[in-house]
Amino acid sequence: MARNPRTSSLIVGIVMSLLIWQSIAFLLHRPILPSPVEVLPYFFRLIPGELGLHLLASACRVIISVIVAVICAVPAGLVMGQFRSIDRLIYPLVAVFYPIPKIVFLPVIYVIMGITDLSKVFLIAMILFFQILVVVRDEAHGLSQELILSVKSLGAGRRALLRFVYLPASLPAVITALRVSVGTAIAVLFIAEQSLTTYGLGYYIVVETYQVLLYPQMYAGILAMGLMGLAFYLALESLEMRLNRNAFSANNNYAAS
Amino acid sequence: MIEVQNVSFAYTGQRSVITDCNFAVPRRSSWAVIGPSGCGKTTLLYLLAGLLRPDAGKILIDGKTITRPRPRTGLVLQDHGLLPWATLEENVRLGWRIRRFYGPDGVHSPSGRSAKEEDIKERAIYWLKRMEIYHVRHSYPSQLSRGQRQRGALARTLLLEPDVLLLDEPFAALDPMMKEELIGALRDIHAEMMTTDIIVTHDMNEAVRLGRMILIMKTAGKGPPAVVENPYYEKGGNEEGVDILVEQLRARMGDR
Repeated sequence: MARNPRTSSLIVGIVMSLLIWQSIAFLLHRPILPSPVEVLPYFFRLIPGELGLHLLASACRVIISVIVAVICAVPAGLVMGQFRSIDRLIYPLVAVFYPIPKIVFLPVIYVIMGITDLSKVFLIAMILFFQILVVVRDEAHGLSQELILSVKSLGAGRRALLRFVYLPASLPAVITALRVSVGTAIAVLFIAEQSLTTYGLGYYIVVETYQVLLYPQMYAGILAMGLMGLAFYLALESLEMRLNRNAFSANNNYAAS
Repeated sequence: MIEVQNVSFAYTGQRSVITDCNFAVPRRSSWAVIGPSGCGKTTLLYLLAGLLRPDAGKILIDGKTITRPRPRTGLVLQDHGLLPWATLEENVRLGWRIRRFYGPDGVHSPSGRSAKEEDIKERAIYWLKRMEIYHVRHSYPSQLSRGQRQRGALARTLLLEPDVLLLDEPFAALDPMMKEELIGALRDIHAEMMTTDIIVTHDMNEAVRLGRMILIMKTAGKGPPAVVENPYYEKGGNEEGVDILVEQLRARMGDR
């Protein structure tokens, strides 16, 4: 199978980062920046064990947050996009909350929900929720009235409109919103995991390694977090490209049934 | 038989578009609707299609009051209303997929009759070929010309075997050649499928070619619509004397 240009550019990017890292470590020559030659063996040794568990805990929190956010935001966005009266009522509230960095609510959420997994998931889901809500609303809003009426005249009621018009119209935008905001979500997770938990990369990096000066292990943790972010981004990007290819190329077999 | 009885309609918070409208279209007839822009031609189609409900009066098709889209009424809008993310062929089969989604419930799709998947495939191919868009069936609406999109929307509607066909400006923005072809195709289809057609247009000549009867709508407040018989319909609307009728129609429209 021919290697596609995306894969090769990804490999080039990773190799270059490692080279830059190696040269800075060499020039700086201090324990705070160990070289990849030193860190990578730690990474591969720790990933099947302790570090793997931390990675798993963080990844689970992100995945659950994504699912919760999508389940809540897509229907809400569709309702806002379809019913002008509800939109007029709710949108001002969304407009106020949307730009607020949700991390500022961390203490409030901790106080109300306790320092649990639930509160962490809630915080990240909230970040993703607003991103998805706004794009789904805009997509539903943007569909021309003629399109909706035409499909209605073919016999579609509300359920069929949802299935054949609103969902396919907003799905690509949902994936794009997730891809763009999953980085922020992981950054917030890092902060949320630093306190009073036992598993999670944020905890591992700050409490278990940084505070006890285990620098190579700390970099193994940073590497794991970076790779997790990259993996989410790439997975969403390939999903997005697949959907978009369906939307714009001339040869495809989308929904051929 | 389509009966429009004392129908009035106004969009929320706006002036009345249609006031006390009355007419009856016999089954298998073909009517053209003309009138100045903003006189409510498209609104009338929406009402007939069951997409809007009259504020007063009622609309009956085959004796039943229309309160929602009727499965056997086909509507083709000026904007075509094709899904931008689906190929032309998928678009043509959309109505069928919606019917299959609901099953033959008598509300969203006709009750009792459910065609086989293979028959639908065949019929979709038939209409794609008949509308001369078979070669572009895998293209997306954005890759097609206006005329191709228009014929795609027609194929999508005709696949559902309507007995009432409502068309809104089907020839707007088509080049003259394409327009000629499509007018001929519509006349043939009307004769073959024995549909009751109501075609909205702003072009008098189109109206004379397509309407056995011509409904002239006036700007709101300038009186009820008038119905004129078109003696040139049977001959294809190409006879001598058509110009005189067109002039008469212009005069009766009362906007010049």
